[in-house]
Amino acid sequence: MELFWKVAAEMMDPFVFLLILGGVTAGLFVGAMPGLTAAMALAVLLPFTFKLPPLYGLVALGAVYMGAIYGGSFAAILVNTPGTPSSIATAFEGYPMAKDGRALEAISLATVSSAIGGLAGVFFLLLLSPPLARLSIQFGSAEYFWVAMLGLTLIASLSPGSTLKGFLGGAIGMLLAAVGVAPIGGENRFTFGMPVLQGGVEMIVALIGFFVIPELFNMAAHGRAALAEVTIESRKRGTFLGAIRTVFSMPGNLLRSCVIGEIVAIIPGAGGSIANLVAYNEAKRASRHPERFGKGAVEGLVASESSNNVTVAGSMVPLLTLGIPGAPPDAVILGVMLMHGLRPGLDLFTVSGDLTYGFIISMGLAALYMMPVGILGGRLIYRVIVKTPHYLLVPSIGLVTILGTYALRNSLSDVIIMLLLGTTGFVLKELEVESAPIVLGLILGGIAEMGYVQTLLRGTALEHPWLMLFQNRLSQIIIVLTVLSLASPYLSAWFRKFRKPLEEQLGKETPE
Amino acid sequence: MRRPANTDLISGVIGLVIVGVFWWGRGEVGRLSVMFPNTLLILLAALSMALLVKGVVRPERRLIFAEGDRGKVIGSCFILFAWAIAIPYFGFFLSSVAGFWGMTCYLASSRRKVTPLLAAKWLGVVLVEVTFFYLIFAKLLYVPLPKGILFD
Repeated sequence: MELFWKVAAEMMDPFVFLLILGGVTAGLFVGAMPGLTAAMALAVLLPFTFKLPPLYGLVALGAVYMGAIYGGSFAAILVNTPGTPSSIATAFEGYPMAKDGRALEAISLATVSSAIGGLAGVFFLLLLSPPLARLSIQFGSAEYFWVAMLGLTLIASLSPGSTLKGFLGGAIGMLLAAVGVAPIGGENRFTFGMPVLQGGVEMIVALIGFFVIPELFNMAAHGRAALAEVTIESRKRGTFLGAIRTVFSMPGNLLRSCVIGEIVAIIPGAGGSIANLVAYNEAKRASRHPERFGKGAVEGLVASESSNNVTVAGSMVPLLTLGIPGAPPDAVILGVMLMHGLRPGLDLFTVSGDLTYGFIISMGLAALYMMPVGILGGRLIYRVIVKTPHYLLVPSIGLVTILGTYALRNSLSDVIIMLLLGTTGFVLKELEVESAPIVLGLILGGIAEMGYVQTLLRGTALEHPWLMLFQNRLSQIIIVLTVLSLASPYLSAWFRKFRKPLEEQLGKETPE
Repeated sequence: MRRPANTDLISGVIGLVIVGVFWWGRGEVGRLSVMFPNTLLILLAALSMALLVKGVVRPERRLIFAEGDRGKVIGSCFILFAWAIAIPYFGFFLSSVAGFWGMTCYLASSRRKVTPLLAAKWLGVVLVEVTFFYLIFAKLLYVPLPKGILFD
């Protein structure tokens, strides 16, 4: 705790404040563009942090992440198109409010809810990370292998479309991680005679490719002319204090949404895109006036925006303790941490505690900064975005992407690899093989390989060395969780099938 | 009219092609280095086979590459690759100005008539933006941006 307060005092630095302000504004810019995700915001803005010291780099990226998730609400409210998947439910209520002339009120409510959600996420992160990090020191090679498998099965089972394709994506990602020098054995694999592949596929290069290029192609294909035609006028002025009063007048809804956000955030791979829908659904179920939902119900907007911003810091719990990204944007943060030689686990809270706590505190500050940035500059930022034609926006993103990828290792080969992976990602996405499992597979591939090979080496004295993977209690618990996550999509489909005839039967028996 | 594609079958085939390419690309390596990749390749082959079976038994069909202007995707992809490939020859600045401007004119052509005056106006915007990022990366972040063989 002493370290925490010491770091908190160190964070009261004008440069840090400036970084957070810049990060939140930049994140808001990208997040407010429909179709551009928070992961893409981080990937595009990442190069600007390369030359910063590790703490400042992480502070800036944390602020970008927070701003991007919040920025998604602007497009959701004003043009009924969620800026990021984390704001899908925001559009359900925000847009009807905007159509009713309450756009400013909706933006104010989204801003306050997002800030509260962001702060709640930081609280959960501070509360849950240290004990989980202490638990992580009990993890051996077999446990790490299974944790990697758990992360992969979770994201594959949660990815939209076919679960099988989610697993296919994860396996492809792991195979990409195997390119280059073997972590144990030290020999070159899958280099196809190309020296450039000896160092493997650089994680951040792949992240930029898989997250940015498919979206870039989508923007090129669709254009954004339709957006500019939509104009929403706000006849009613919503005051900021009024928004604070409204949000705090529903403490049950706020608390429930924050807790839901945190639970979803801890599940690797889930993130804000799932949290906002679950929280919205629960707000509707708990509401005394569910019939108002879909017509501008404030509870729904508050639930969606508070829960999605909880996931920003909340999803860092599995990332900082076990190295498993809670959501796709976390993968970018992990990439930056590894680039600076920071490995998730207990050391992050002890040896590098000043950096970790600094990062966590900065996310809390970013949540607070969202209020002035959103209220004062949000509408202006949004207007700029809508007015910028796609034919200038797409090449601008292309320029930053090429520059950023090159700047990583001053390598043009990385740029070509990034474009190849991005194009592959676009084609696979069309076939419903999403980028998120591929990227997670790429990140977890190294952890899984180390765990797998080390465990089998430890078991060489056994007749069947692979039995070592199943021998201790912690591994067995994670295996059970992995099997459950593997089975969950099939189980839920089975339950739905089972429930449907039952509901139909009940519907027939119940009189009108 | 375009017919929906059997995405399971296509994904399965792509998976098997990847298995084939990586199996061939393992090289002569020892047991420790190839232990995990071998397991992965078997897993990927099994998943691909499962998708092939699903593609035959209960296929998932959808229109692929159907949304938006496909031509613009192919064109943008071509310009991005050409942009990156041109950098060693023409240097970062010149390639980026050409790539950026080319892409702007190409994407805008589907929405409006690109007149020489408009193209010249965009060239100005492109020059300002590329110079801005060039200065940030080269002078502020000290990234040694590539110089070309033909031009600096």
